[in-house]
Amino acid sequence: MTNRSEVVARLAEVDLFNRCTKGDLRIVARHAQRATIPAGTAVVSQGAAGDAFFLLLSGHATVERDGVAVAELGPGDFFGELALLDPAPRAATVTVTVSSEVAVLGARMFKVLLRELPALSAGMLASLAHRARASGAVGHE
Amino acid sequence: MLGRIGRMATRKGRLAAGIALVTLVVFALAGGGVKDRLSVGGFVDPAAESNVAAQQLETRFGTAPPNYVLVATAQDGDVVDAANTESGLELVKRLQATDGVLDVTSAWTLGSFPEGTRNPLRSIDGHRAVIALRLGRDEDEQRATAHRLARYSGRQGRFDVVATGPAEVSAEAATQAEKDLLRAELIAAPLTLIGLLLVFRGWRAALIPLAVAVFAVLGTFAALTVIATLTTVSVFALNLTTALGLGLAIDYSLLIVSRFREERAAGHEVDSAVHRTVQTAGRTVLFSAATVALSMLALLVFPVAYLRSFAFAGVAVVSIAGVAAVLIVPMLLVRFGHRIGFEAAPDDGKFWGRQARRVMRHPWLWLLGPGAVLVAVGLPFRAVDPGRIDDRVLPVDAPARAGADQLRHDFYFVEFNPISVYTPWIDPTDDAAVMDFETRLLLLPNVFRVDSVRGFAGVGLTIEPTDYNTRFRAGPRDGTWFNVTSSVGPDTHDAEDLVADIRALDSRVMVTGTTAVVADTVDVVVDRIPLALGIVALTTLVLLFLMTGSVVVPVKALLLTLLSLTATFGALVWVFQEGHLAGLFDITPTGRIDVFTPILMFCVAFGLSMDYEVFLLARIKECYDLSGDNVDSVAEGLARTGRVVTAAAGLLAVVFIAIATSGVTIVKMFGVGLALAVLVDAFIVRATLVPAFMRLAGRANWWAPRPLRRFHLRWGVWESEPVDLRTIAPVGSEKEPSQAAPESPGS
Repeated sequence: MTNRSEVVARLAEVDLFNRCTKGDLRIVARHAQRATIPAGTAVVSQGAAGDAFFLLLSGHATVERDGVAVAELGPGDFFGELALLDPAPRAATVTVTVSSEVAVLGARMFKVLLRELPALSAGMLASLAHRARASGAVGHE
Repeated sequence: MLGRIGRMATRKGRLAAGIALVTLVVFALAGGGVKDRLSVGGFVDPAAESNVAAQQLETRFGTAPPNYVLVATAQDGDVVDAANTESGLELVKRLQATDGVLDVTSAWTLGSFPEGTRNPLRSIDGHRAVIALRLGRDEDEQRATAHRLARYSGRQGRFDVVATGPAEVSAEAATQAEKDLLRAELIAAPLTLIGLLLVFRGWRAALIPLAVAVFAVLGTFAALTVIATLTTVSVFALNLTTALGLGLAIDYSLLIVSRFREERAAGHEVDSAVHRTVQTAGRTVLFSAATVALSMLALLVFPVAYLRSFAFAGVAVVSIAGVAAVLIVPMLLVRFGHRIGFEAAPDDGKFWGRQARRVMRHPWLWLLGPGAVLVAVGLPFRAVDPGRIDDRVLPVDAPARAGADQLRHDFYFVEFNPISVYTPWIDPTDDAAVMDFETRLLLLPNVFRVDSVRGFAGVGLTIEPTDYNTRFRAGPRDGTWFNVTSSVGPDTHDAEDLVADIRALDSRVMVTGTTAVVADTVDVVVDRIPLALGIVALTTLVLLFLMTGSVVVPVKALLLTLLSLTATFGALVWVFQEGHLAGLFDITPTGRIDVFTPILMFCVAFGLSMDYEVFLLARIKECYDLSGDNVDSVAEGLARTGRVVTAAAGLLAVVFIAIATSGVTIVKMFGVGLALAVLVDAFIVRATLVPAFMRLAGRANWWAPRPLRRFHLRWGVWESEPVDLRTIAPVGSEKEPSQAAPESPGS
């Protein structure tokens, strides 16, 4: 993936952005850093301060809380948002199991984009609600 | 790109240092002889009517107003007695033989004067005589000739001779200014060094701004050397280069080193801290430099080489200082960063954070109070009366000033600044036409006498032509010209009105002489000021919008900067034009203010002011993006930058005050004005008006129409957010984390 339009195409396939216009995606693509993470790397560590939001573009990662695997992540999944939305140490450790590509938004840009792009914040809320429902944290509607 | 620079500084330090050293040597070799390639002139618009008229008189009639004057005081007797005349004629002969002297007129060579009329080049009491010379065509040649003529000052035969006139005043002012600036540098250098040691907290860090300054100044000298091969560049551009070069080097270095210390204090190792610093503060520095450099391009709208030179020097010094700061400071931080220390200074940031909150508790009070003071100080600016310099810019004891004072007191001074009127359509042999135009000139207000091919005509006076009057005649198609002596001084509005009246007589008439040149220069400069200001305003508004995404904050920044500069100019008018505190400042007010100096000051002061504004706004915006809290963001922004801005302003004020000790009034005005401007900006505008305004505006600070907000998100300038992917280590491995280095698809 070498140019921004390819990044936009990849973002368009992600559920989080399915309410976003192409213009929104171009804005996100402009500010996202990309990195290739070697297999076995802990991208975020439980208890550390959070300074970024991560979107897995390719590859695979596991989520562990207190040493116990609690979730598996694949392309299109994201993590790291909780410590930014509700400033607190990272709640879990996320480790990539194969060489993976991530898109990264720093804390500042993450908050700016949530404020400025209503479609992104709606997608984020929907995803968080989905996770809460799936984890049983929400008992009823 | 900034990421790559950061990585190069941290990983290829030796290579980067080698490149920097080679570049510095190239700059030094290319720019070392810059002074010899620059011009001491460039003060007039080549297309101005007065300039064209002067060229026509020179080409067609071989004449022009004298620009160099020797006042010869007889040691004994009347200057026109036999012995003194012989001695005077001998002196004139030697002067005529001097290289670069085109024409010599003297009290002894004007011919005889009828009973009841006086020799205008002989003093009222008869003890002094004037020798009026015309030196080479351009100012550089004139200055060189003035230096050659210096040997005629002092005892010459039966006379004591003093040199004065525009060419001599210009040469003496330039020489005196050079001496004064050297002395100022000797005063300011140790004080600045002590200040840098205190502000940067250590000698290694204190040397960083000096390294950047050396790059910026030598690089600009090299650039000016190249530009001088293409167009006229004023030697005074060097003053702007050194003042702005040192100022910006301190600003940029201080911002970068402060950010580096913050990153180190936050727990980052030297390499990581440098990397993060380049991506944040480095970007702010480059953005600030771009804003100031683009604003300075506005000076190109002035058709005067002197002012255009400031654009060349300003753009070069700002650009090179910005790039040098981003390239060299990280390199030095990697090399010495672990020894620079990062512990917070006592009360670091707390004072300015408290100050911001104090202001924001009573924003109206802090906005209207200091705002009213600045408006009041700026009020005299309404009466600004722009003009050009004369001998009174020199100290009272300067030889050219003393000579000019003798002319004023002992002669009919009005004789020395005639108005030359070229009438290309009047045939000098057509006596009726010459007499008709001569009469029309005589009827104008404040005309004392008209010299023409017909002789000398005054009110109730007609003198037949002498040899002198042959100068009004040339070839059959060259027309003729008239020499108008007015009864008012050349630097008065009455004289300017007379020039306008003469021009109104006929659309074909062309007028020159001191008054016309000054009036044309002032007019062309003043006429273009609104366009220049418009370009500066537009550039600033667009660039600050690109940085902040707001349309309110840039307008606020521009208004407050203009308010601070207006207050400074108001104070200058009060002192230097109106003469208040003239004794304290040791100046001779002329009732006018040099039109060029405020423009030069505006360049430097605006550049520094915008620097401070960009530093402050960048931090406020960063905090606001993270917290969404306006009050906290303003307080945090001021806390983080208050020390940087006040320290930089304090250091620069020392330099400018040293410059203000000059004996040359315009240099003194430059120093006083800039010291005042940076202090007002740092201590009043940034410390009170900015937080008060931003508190009152609240969320509206960041308002922009939705399309513009989206434009800013997509294309705006964002300070990079260095997410530390380099610290993400492979689990159970000591492997260098650089494999996870980010690749940003954004700009």
